[in-house]
Amino acid sequence: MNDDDLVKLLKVQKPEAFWNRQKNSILFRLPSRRRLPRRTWTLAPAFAAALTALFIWKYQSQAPEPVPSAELQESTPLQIPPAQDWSLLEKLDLLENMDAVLPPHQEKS
Amino acid sequence: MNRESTDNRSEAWLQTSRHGDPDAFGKLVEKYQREVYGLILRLTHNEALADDLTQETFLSAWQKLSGFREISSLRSWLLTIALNKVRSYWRWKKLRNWLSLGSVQNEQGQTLEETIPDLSRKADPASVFEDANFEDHFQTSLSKLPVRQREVIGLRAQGLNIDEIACVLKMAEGTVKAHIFHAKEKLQEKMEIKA
Repeated sequence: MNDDDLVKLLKVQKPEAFWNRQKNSILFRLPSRRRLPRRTWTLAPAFAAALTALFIWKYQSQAPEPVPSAELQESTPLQIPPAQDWSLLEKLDLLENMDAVLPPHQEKS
Repeated sequence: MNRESTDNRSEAWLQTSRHGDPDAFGKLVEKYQREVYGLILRLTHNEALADDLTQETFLSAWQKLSGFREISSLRSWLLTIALNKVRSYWRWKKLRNWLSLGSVQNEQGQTLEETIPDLSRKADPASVFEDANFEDHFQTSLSKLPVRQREVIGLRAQGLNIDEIACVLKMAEGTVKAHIFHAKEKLQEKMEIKA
């Protein structure tokens, strides 16, 4: 069997009407390439992502503030004051010169 | 009509098709539909499926035309798309069978539909002239070849030369030649046994 025999054997014979019908079916199904229609379902992943983001955001905003547990409170050393207290103490020296800083109407009182 | 003028006309149709002209694309369909359909039919042995996948092939080609440049390989390009459509179909069918949603397979992994010859061809007036039994036996023998050999033979039957087949199937030319040799040998053997 040579290649020509093989090609002859494998050749598909169909009436011309078949090819015309097939061509017309293809052309009928062609979407316009100038302006491809946007299918709604292509937006589904984006919609799902947006919905998930919205859900997470709402869940986080509604969630209560974390309450420190009793165990945590006990273990916290009381002798260590918060940071803002230290900063206040550092500014105590300025209180001596408060008179100079205060506006005149507060000076009187 | 010589080859050069045919190529020039195809080039013109391709250019016009790229700009969204369905009539020009219709000319390309007319020119290549027999080869695309022939390849798919020989690979799937199912006329309705071959018709459907041929349409899908040209629809994909229409959508990807802007990315295609070389007119000389338009036929190879279309046959590559067709081959990928067939492979996708096989994968989908394998998955469907794996999920037990489809037909029961035999030992060769063929479904019952594949082992039964497609009888719709019998109603085709053109096939009245052919020896239907011989054709059926030939197609059945072809279906029993390994997939790669079937693909090579199918492409060869559409007039692709060795290097074009190698390019489409992404394999060495020597491998293509070996596949053709073994496929022909097996086909000949099966046809002689039948005779």
